[in-house]
Amino acid sequence: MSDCDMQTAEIERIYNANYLMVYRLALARCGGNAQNAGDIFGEVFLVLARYIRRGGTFNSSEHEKAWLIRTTINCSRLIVRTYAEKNLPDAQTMFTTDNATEESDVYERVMALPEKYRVVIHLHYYEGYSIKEIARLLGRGENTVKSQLMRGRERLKTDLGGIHNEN
Amino acid sequence: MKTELYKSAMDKHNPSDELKNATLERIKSVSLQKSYFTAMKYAVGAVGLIAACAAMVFGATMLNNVMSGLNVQTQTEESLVITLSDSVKNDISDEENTLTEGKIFADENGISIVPRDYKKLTTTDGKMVLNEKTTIEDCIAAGIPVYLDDSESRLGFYNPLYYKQLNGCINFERVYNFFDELKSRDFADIVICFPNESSGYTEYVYISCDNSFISNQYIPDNVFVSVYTYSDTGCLSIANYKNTSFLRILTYDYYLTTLPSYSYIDNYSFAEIKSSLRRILTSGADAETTRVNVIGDYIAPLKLDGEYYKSYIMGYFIERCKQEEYATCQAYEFDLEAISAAAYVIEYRNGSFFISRYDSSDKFTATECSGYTIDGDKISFTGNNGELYEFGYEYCNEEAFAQSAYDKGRAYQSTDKY
Repeated sequence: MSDCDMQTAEIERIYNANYLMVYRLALARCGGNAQNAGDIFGEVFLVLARYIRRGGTFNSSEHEKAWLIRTTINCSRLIVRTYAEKNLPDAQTMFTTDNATEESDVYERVMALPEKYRVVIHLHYYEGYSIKEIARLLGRGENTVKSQLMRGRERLKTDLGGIHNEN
Repeated sequence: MKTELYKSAMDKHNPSDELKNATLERIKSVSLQKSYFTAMKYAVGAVGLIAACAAMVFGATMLNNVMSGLNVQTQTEESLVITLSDSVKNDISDEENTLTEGKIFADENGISIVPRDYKKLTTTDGKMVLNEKTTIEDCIAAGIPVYLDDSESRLGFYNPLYYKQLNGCINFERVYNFFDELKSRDFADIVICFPNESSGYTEYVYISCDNSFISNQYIPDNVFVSVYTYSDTGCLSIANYKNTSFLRILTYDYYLTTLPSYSYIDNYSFAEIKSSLRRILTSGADAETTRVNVIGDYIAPLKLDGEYYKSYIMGYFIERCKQEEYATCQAYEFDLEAISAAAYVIEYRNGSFFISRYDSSDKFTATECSGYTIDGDKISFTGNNGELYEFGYEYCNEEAFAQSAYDKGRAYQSTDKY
């Protein structure tokens, strides 16, 4: 197998192992807007492909995942800003308030949080990262992450009540 | 069990098959392009060339020598293997003329090598020597290829050449393209040339951005360039005062978090930079005024030639300090007469302020401050060593600052570095 083939295999392996994680983080990052999440998704794996083609490697699956999270956050900045710049309808308005289930209600409420809370909550509760790990991933201080998590939970508590108790 | 509800809801969200297929296709197309690049990179790297960055001029004779020593063994969609003959290795490894870094290009015209350090480039037969006095016009007259905006034909590289033409205009459309490139690529570079009318030779500023760094290679004496990379900000200032052209390029991670692994230009800020640059380039005699406006628009708090500028950023920083245990802010000052500059990082940690000052000669000082005093549109910090630090100040709460950032493209998160 040539180097090129091995790189392709590696890219596909990483893609298959992480595409759901990347897509859902992108979704959380852009407030549930699937179109933007799709754009971010494509961009992230494009960056990954370039990285691997340039000889980039990962030390471990944790490193690999952290790299993808970081890249997803970075890539989403442009997408989210472009989204805002075009003055498109906010993602939050895409949810209907009488949308049947409690499950979707929780999802919508999380997606309606300000971005800084939303991503922290997603990484903590969905991906299972600790505050310390999130701080490192996002390049923020632990205290900041802690307070963002707390404030996000307080907002959810106001709307829903309870998710803050799920620590 | 709200957490479980959220998990369960999120689990139902999957990328569509169409998206997955399109993404894989895209990765595949990148892989073909990049494999070509990678193979070349490794091949050239074996003799000490690193295909990472580029300068923009090179000797035609040198090119011919190198070309004649290249043996392209195979070229398929999947791979390209290049070996360098011993004679070429010897040619380019002379101690005085070491070609240590460069970029190789391949297109329908063949393969060329662009050395990074053009100053050291000379050919072994001495027919052509490029040095700091070589002008663009010299290159053109000598038949030296000068590439302009050839991104499409260069294997994903971007090697535009920007230069101040004899009519005094820099083609900033190309600069814009450079930034556009950064949005879609993880590597781009740019060379800006300033023909110096007083000395008669061309000065070059080289900037390269890949996914993790911004660097400048050759800085002429009368062009002030500083690259600030602390606090995760890449802030590059280029000023050529003698020629009354001024360029300030800001690159920063939008959230100014860790050193960006992926550097984007803030769209809003960039739009303003763009229009400001256009004003500079078209304003001529008004350049001095415009220059001040550009700085005032983007870098704040600021002290320029002793004058303070009111700053929302500093106001917001102070507000954050009241709410958070930790916050930072950055400030810059310029002295156009002395062609010097200093940058400050002001940190707030649990009730205490710390000011780090970096100047253009890389001198660094750090001082703990006893507190601050706000007097109208000025804020003063008194260091424990007796030093007084003053900056422009304007009250700004979070909402107003966010709105300002959105409206005006300021670096909203400039104080949000934790």
